Amino acid sequence: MLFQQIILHMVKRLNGERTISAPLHLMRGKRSGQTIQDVKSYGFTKYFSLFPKLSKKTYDQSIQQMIDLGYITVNVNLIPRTTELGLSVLQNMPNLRLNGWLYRGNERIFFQRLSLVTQTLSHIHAKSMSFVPVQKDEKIQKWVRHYLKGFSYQSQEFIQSFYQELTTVFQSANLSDLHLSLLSHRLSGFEVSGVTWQQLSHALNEEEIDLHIRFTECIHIILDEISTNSNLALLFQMSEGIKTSTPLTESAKKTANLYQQGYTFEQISALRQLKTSTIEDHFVEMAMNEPSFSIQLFFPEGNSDSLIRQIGHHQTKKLRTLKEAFPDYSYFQLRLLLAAGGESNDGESV
Amino acid sequence: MTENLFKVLHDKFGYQSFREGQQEIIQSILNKEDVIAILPTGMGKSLCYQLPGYLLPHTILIVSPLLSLMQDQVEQLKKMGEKRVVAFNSFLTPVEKQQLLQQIEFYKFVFLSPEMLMQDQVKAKLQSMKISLIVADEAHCISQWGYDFRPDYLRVGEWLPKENRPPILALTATATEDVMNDIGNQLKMKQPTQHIQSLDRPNIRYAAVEVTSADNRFELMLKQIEEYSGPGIIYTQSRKKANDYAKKLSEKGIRIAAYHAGMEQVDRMFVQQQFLQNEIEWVCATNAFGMGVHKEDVRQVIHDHFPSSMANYAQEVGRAGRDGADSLATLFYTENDENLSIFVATNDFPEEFHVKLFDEESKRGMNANQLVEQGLLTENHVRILSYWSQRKTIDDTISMLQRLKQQKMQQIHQVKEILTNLICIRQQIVQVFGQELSERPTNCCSKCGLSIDELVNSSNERSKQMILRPWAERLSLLFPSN
Repeated sequence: MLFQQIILHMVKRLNGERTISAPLHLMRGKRSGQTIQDVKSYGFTKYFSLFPKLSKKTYDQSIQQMIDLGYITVNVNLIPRTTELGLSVLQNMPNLRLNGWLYRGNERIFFQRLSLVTQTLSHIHAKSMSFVPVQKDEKIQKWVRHYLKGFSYQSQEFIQSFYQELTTVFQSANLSDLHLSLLSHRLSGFEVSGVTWQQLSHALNEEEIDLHIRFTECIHIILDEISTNSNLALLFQMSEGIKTSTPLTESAKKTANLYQQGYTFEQISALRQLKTSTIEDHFVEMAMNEPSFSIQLFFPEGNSDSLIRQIGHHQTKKLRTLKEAFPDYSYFQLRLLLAAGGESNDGESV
Repeated sequence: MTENLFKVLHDKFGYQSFREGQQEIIQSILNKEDVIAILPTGMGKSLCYQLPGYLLPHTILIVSPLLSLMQDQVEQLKKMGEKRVVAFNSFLTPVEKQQLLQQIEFYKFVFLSPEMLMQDQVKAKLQSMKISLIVADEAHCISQWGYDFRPDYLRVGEWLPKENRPPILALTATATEDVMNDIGNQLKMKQPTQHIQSLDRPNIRYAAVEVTSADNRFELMLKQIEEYSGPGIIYTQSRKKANDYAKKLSEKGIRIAAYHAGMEQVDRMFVQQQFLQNEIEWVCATNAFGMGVHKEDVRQVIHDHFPSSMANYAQEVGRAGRDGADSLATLFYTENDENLSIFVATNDFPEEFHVKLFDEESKRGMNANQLVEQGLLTENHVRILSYWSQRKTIDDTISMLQRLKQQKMQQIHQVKEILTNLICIRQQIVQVFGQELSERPTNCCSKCGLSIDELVNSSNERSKQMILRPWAERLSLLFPSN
């Protein structure tokens, strides 16, 4: 249900201006100019990278199901719209504390570390050092080895303080009982097995996919707590590199660096041997994500602020429609305006 | 020396005594004899080279054709606290491989896939280092008479040094004379000592039960699970069925979990753990389940289908009763199941027109991924055809694939025959693997006469369904007395 509500939420906000693939790209965290622009201009920061491995097949099945249930319609041009029934389903959607734009699927890595550290310390605590690591990924194992070696991890004091931090973070204000059930049963240790998603789904009477959403939400809440609560030093170290330090894509970051060194748009394009349109994408990304970046440069008449306000009055993010209203400006300029003005749209309202 | 053997057995492996055959095999190895050893699956084959590893001065080289088996053995050794163990297989990146090769002398146990053994730099390195023993695991794969012939494995013989080579241990669970001779020849063994154990597992009792429909099958399975105790494994054919059975049976109050390769790796591990620790009584699985699950007290194995070969059937039922206590292997079937099994085994197998299509489209410059995307071929088709198109002509590929398909169908037919004709199941199983049955237990199989009540305990009062615990309780279970 939750999964369908998220799609409904996106379909409603997309307002017939994107095809049915847009939500899929977004939930997979696709790093393309279009998707990244959609994140900001439609206010989808929550859902970005929510399901990095979502298959087209699974997605299509859900969409078909929603059509069959009468929640949405999809026309021949693959444009989806919500129905009355769909809107009433959306009404009951809970407020999700997701921050996909900030964590971008990296929260998984954090949990992998957490579960392997927990398993290891639980076995050390029980003085039983022989176990098969619950995380098979060599990178995670290496990271955890390195992390633990930074402490006297075999000592009771260390294990005690780790346990203390776990207990503290489990009491974060925004965690629900459901979050805590999921989190505590996905951890395992000495003579304590974890519980599979299918088993959790049976026991909690919730769909598996919805539990995955709640679990991601739970890790986001915990990561937020860790970054602000000074009593969680061990967990803070465990969250190293999880938060996106710059929201720019790798390629846009390179363009931004050159721009900061004083190169012009044309010089960057020549230097990087990239098409103008690609560099345009990068500048739009910067306009969206870098508060210090000003789009003034591209508006010699100095009227960008008033243009942003004017565009805000139009109830569309669709470029072609905007172009009709503002024929004197290029698509690139309009995209910059949309990107720079996008922030206000990311509210809680459904 | 014998005293020493028992000391290592106890100190390193935690056992008081050897299983049948193990001590003799190890003794031969320590006498530097070439050995062909035949042991039924799951009866402690790996100990036969692991233990000598702690008594011999240099590296033990294990050639293993099955990747998952290799991974499992590496994991087992690591779990015992052995750090000097490494696996060379296709999972390694070139850089990782280089690094490991440079420090290979450090390792006591080196596992290799046959393909790796043929790479020049690997070969050169191995020829320059000191090796105490070469182990050919699943050695029947070397023989073209074996049921699981691997052409790559053949070339192991080419690599072996002629002079002063270390002794070879060939391990297998097949005992036909052809296979044994072939193994000896291919590996250029010098008058190998043969240690042959009976492949019969007398404490496993076989039953084949005909059912009338899918519903009837489920009723009877449920009845059996409710009346007789686990721990047990239900083997089924598809992921979907594994999920469905698990759901339906857990609604009946049975502690059960599904297991298949479509689940994420952590979940699969959780199921193994729950099963080992008796938190669940049953696992409902595809054939992905078993490797790496070392549980001694499995009392029942149930099949709802005919497995794809007698080797697979023997492997799956062989997971029961490793502790030696009576156990039950039950297979529920309808007459149509043979066709269903054939369909499952061959439906993704390339046919003549797939071979031709692949050839024509490749010539036109279409790449394999496009063919899959357009739904013309499946990934499996492309995998098989890409491999053979480099090595065989179209006509040869077609006739080889037809032969293979025939073979698969025959293997399934054999399973059906053995389980549904009037002859003793036990006797037929050992015959498939080249032995004769010397004695037959009472309660042998459903054809010789079987009284289940004398074998497995009736089920206890069902313990409660697994319930989730409050989080604070979970945490204090992980770190008790906090």
